[in-house]
Amino acid sequence: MDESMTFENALAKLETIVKNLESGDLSLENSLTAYQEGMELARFCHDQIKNAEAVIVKLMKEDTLEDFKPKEE
Amino acid sequence: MERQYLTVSALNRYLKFKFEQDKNLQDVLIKAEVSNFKRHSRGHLYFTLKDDTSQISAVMFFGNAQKLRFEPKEGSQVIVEGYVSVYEVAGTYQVYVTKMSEAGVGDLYRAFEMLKKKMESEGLFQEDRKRPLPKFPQTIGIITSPTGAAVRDIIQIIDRRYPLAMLILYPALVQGDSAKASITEQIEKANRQALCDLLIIGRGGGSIEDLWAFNEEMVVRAISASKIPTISAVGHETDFTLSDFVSDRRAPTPSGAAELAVPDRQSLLVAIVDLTKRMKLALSNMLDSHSSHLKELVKATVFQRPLRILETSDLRLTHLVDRLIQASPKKRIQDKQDHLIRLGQTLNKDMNACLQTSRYRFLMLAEKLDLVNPLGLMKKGFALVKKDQTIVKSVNQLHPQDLVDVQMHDGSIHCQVLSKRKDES
Repeated sequence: MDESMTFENALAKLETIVKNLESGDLSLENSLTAYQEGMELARFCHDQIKNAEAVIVKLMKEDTLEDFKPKEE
Repeated sequence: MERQYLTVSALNRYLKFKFEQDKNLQDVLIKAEVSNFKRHSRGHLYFTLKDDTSQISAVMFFGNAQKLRFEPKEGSQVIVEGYVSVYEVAGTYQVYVTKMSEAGVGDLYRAFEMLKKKMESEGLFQEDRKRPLPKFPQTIGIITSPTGAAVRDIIQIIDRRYPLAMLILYPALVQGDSAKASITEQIEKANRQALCDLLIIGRGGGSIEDLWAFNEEMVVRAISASKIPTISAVGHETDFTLSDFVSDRRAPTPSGAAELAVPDRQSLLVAIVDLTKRMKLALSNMLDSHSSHLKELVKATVFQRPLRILETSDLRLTHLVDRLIQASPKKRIQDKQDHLIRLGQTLNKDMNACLQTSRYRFLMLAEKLDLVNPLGLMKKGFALVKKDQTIVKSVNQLHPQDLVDVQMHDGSIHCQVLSKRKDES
């Protein structure tokens, strides 16, 4: 799997593969390839979400980014 | 008959009943000046409403008073909403105030309406100007105060829903005279830097004056000019600002903006599981359809009666052979052969004729030859003389006493030369 792939791209690709598979227009061999790729994409998306850590928050101070933590009430 | 008397409390109760019967008195809107303002220790407000010629007592109980967005004081011009009723204990009637705002706010409201009309006529609020928000924003810019509850709420909700996104806080003053310039500047900076694919612009709840920056023309125009899609999130559900009209989406609150901005990871997980299921189903449908197709194929005649193919092929073969025979060179060979035979016969005839002639000539020649045959001569009496097996052709070859053989046609004799005589020639 391409390291630079974003969650959005992976999900979009997965949706396309599912549609193609459902259309039944693919040959058996292409279907198997598509299925394999789809399973990899699904795993990638799943992992991206499951393994996502806390959201990164930065403060734009003048023109540089600093770490930011909101004050507790 | 003695008239029946009333108690004071009964009279006041009756008066109160009459006041409350009157629909006009149940909902009044009054513009007045505040005087004799007193705040009771339990939070109720007591004051007098007056104009140039008249006055009326007023009370605002704690529950309503705590919602006030300004601090009323002696001489304040106010607009109050409420109802008129009787205070039985004192036998006085007064205005029970439920809402109160500063009359000056009416000017703000007029300004708001004028700017709204102007921008509406420019088409800034039109629906077709609204852009769709990115479904999966990667970097979200938040333009608000770094210290308020708003930024905390937004961060918390995005962290819970979709921590894949990155947040950049563009700190802005959101209250006071400098707010409009500060907000405008940060919107423009975010657009210049172009780091974000979505902007949330807003602040938490407050009085209409507190939120006023979001009605300022420069802020509204900056949002309208933003190349990055925008969500406005100003105040509470009930607060509407011009920023809300001009941004691509209006969120009722900052928390609501966070929910609009990002998808929820739980539903994404569900969606991924669903896609996986659909994929499996599609593949298994495909396999089923292929396998039933295969079964159909196996049922086909060729597999059921494979000899059919041979039969058909055989028929074709026969046909081809027929054509081959038609096209065969055999006939031409036959023709040539016949021709050859005819040629041979002709040749034979000629040869026989030739042989006949030759035989005749041969016999003639043989007869002639016979005439010169030495054996024939010898029969006539000629003989051959040989000395040492060599035919003697001249007397010069012989000398007296030589032994010679004389060959005749029926034998030979052995002789000795007695003498010789050479003929003169």
